[in-house]
Amino acid sequence: MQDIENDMDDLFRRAAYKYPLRLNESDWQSIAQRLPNTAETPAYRNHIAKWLRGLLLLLFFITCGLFASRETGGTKLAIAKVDGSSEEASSANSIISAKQTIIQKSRLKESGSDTTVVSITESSDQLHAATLPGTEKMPINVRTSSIFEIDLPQAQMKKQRKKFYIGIVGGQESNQVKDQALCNRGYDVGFVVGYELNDRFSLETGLLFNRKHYYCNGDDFNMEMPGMKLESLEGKSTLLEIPLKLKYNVIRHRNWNVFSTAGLSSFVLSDEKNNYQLVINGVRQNMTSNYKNSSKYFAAVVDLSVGYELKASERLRLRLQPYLQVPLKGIGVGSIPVKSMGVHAGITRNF
Amino acid sequence: MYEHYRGYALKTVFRYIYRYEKAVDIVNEGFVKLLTTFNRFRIESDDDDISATKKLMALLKKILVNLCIDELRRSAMAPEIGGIPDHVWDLPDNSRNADELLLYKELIALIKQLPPPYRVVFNLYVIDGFSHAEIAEMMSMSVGTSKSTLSRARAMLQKSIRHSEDKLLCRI
Repeated sequence: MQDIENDMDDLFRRAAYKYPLRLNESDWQSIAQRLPNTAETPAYRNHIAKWLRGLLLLLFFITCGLFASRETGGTKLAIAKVDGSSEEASSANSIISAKQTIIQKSRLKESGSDTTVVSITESSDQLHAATLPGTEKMPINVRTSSIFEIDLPQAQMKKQRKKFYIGIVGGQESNQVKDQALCNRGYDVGFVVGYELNDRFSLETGLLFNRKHYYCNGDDFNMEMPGMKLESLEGKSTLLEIPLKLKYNVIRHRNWNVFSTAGLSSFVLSDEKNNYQLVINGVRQNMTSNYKNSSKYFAAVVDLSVGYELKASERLRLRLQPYLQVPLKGIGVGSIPVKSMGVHAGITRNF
Repeated sequence: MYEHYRGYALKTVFRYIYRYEKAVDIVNEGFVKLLTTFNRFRIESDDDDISATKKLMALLKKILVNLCIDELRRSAMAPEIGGIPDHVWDLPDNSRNADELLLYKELIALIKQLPPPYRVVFNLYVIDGFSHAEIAEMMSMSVGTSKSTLSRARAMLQKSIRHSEDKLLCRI
């Protein structure tokens, strides 16, 4: 058997070097034209450049978020002016102007500006702070107390909430094509970035590394394979997922939330490996193919979830989030519509 | 260099790529790639002309084979339809070894009829001399898959040869 194989191999080798093939006409001109401009950027450099751009953009948003949020100063009010004609008022105003440069600024959420409320009206021999939303009028003795250090213990100053958050999430998922058999579980892991628009709504995005496993009948593999009949395939895909979701806090509690999210996810498919069950010339055969061309699928799935979020501390939150991804378009060489169901566990921190 | 090696290049590529026109495109692309990166080609000081030629041909073959694999992957390793047109062959009318050339032509046609993954592995291992480990790396498959694919390719070729035994045997 080995001898027959060796003989056959030798025969084919001789054939490969001596077989009569027509030579096309010389096409040197077209080659020469391509030479000066053919220093193509290697594909991997394009990938690295794209990743760097994405990372820079993300760092930019993080930096903006960090700068946008500042620590709430204590409970101090800066007074810019005292209204009134009394001696105390003018005395206060002159002190104010002298110490303008060292005014301590506090920011109140309600005022939305760098300096606080600020006008003080005169009433009898005492000055009262003007009404701030949610505060009570406080008596201020101009002579004995520092105008720039007014404690408002009763003031219902709300601490500024940190609106920007970032975290990591991950979990297992099951992938299914229509209602066909399930395969080995896939998984995804990555980070999530969000911004709280208000108490109820937040906007979330992120980047997740996703591995999908799926089984598919030949009928749902949308690619012609002439000369072969595809019975089924088992596929394994490696993707990057970029979600964009709106998060809604359905039930808000001091220490926990129940929330739901809805949005779209896009994918960048970097690797696909399919194990085909084929019938070729009446013979059933296995064939494995691996595809490494990167493909992008914008808004490929609708992403729905509900979740429970526990406030572990002032800024830390833990979440558990079952989700469902419904395909809007197929992915991979066969445009396979893959549905995914899974649970994400995650931790986020507000900034 | 282009004129000298393009025949060799076309014969190499045509074993992998079904369509003649596509094979010509890949040969041109291969030469562009070779000439663009030619500054990286190194000849040792003790290399004679034959060694230098062999190194150059090995480099050209590697570039062409990788381009062929990339092209087949782009088409998802899908088998091609239709026969090979007669005009691609250069069969002499009268020649002492015309029968032998006809045999070689038929053998190459049998290789081209194989499904693309089988065709690639057979060409890489049997004709171009790559090891299973190298094939596994180039084709992103395991060594075991490479071996089993080769075995199936051989089985298919043996079956095809038996079918056309009458035509072929009389020419050996």
